[in-house]
Amino acid sequence: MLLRQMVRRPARTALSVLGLSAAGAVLLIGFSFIDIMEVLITQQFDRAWRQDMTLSFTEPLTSDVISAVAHLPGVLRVEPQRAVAVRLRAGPRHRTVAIVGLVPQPELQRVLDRAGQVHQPPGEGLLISQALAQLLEVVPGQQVDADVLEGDRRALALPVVGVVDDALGLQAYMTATALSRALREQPRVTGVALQVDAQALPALYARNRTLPAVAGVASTSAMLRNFRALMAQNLNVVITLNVVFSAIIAIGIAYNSSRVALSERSRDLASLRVLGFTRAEVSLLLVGELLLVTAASLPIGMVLGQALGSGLMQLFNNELYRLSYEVSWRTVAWMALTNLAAMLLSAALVVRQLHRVDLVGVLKERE
Amino acid sequence: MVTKRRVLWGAAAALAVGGVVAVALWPSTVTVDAAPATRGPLQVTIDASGETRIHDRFTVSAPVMGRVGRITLEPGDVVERGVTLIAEMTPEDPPLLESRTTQEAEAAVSVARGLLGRADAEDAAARTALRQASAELERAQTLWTAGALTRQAYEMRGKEHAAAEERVRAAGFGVAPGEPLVELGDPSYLEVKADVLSTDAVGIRPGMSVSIEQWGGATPLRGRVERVDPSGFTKMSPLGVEEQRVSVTIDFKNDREAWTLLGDRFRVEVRIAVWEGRDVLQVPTAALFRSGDQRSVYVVDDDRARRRVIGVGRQTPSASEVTSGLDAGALVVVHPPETVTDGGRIAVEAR
Repeated sequence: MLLRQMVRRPARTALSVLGLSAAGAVLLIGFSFIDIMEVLITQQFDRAWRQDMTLSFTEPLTSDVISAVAHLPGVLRVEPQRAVAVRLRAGPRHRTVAIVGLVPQPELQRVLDRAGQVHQPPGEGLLISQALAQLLEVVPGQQVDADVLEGDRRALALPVVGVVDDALGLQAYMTATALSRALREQPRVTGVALQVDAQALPALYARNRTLPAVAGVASTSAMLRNFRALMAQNLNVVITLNVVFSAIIAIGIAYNSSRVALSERSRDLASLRVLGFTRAEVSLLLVGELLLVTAASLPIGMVLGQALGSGLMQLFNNELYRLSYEVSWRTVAWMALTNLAAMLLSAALVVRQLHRVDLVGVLKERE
Repeated sequence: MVTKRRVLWGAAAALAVGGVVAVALWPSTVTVDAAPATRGPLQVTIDASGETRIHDRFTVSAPVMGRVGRITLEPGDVVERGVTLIAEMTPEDPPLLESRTTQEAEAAVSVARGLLGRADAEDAAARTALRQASAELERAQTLWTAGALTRQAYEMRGKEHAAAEERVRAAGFGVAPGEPLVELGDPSYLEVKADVLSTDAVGIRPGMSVSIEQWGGATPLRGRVERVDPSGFTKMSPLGVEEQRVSVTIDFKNDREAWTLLGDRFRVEVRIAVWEGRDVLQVPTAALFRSGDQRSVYVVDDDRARRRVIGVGRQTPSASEVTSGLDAGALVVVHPPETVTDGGRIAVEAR
């Protein structure tokens, strides 16, 4: 009897399922922002940038500075970097970026792609972001012209030897040795990544800000804290909006369809009651339909949300950041629970009305 | 029958909802990198930039006032004792006389004439002194050529400005006594001078072994600390603050063939080994973190992280000595993310 009604009205059942799926999808997208950000944070702050502090200098310094920094109290490990501003050109396309010279096989400042794979800076030629490669329309093996925008403004021709599908910015990497060789200069340092004894971190932070040669001090944990705070602020708004909207959709559809069913079948249900079925049994007949519709909508909503979300991400992604659409099972479970809650709420409302129905009145009514 | 089916349905529904709730509340797993605690050699080094230096430098300077002819030696030329001519000196031309100077000179002449009588008396004594003096001069000149060039084969390097001036005054130039003409030295007898922080110098003793790196060759060279200067000096650090530094002199231990292309005042990086252990229990320094005053690591216990307080001895940027609390072979979390907790779930990233 439960299924009969649903099969008899396939279009209406399908629409109900679709409506609830849409609500689920909207909710899933809202929740998935948490997953997307957590994956980004894990990749960038836990796995790619493993330094505790980053110093940038007012000008390129000689490599003497490495041992000078290593002697600052609390510093456990120093990894020098050389950044140089260039205009990369390939045919008529160009972008102004910084080529970052890293140590070979860096331990602190690493290059990770979105799949979490570590890439090593090449000793010859450039490793560039996939987004940059697409902008310049170059593939590994081709050459790009690099107009150096500082020093003696040398013009370099560098081969692109690798492309990394990374998450943030337009990056170009090579080893610092290769970079200084290309620039025809002694190894120079424009910044250092530091691993620091946590106990010494606050004092070191304060001290580094007073050093004349240091232009900027960034603490990774502070960066992460700010990032989280900013994200929490923005995401909470997005998620709240999504939850509210999807709840309205879900409750609306669920309540409406069961209310319609109640009106249509109040006579049948009243008859059943009169025939001796208990309140609970009759309620289950009415709510069971809703339950099945909701159950059917969950997987559809999941797939829909996934497809919609990754499509949305494609549109979002730009030169500044490229996020992967990530949904954890935990998020899916929360989506399911929220939808179930919406369903139960509307079921409770309808069941209350069912019990208020005047059995005699309904049965006397003429069709 | 009906009741039994209903119970089954209810159980299935409860199971499904319970499963969903479990997934929703399941604790998250943190992906981490891990490395084992190992036994092996550990070396604590003090790293500094240094410069090669010719051990003995000799400056050949003008013995008297005069003109020096063109110095034809180029830096790198080999000089040989008693064979190579370094420079020829001629007396400086007298300055031109103008009337005032002439009168002065003439006055001086008349005074001199007046004194001539007295001088005549001292003439005999002076002649004797003259003979003696010229003999001494001759000997001094022989000594000068020979004395500076004590080695059989010296290469030489010219004074930089000498080379420049020669082009301006092709005939040569006047020099005062003591003015340097050329510097001589033996480039096969090189040493390295590195300036280290005075706080580091305290730990450096003559005889400590040194690795000389980034000198341009493929493999590092071996060296030995020869001398730590007893007095330091103030130097501006690259970070823009003043610091006290001390010069450390390092001798090459490799044969000359290994570094034959190194010359005078070439840049090198030195790593002075101030402590060495052969069999040291160690973990990557990146695995250490603070919990209060204690140093700890997270030990991988299947899918859980366990915090372990350890004693830390010697430290280098890459590895740290473990003095207590850990056995060799224990897997520790490297660069533990903030999300790892004691007893929390972790998954070790395959390297």
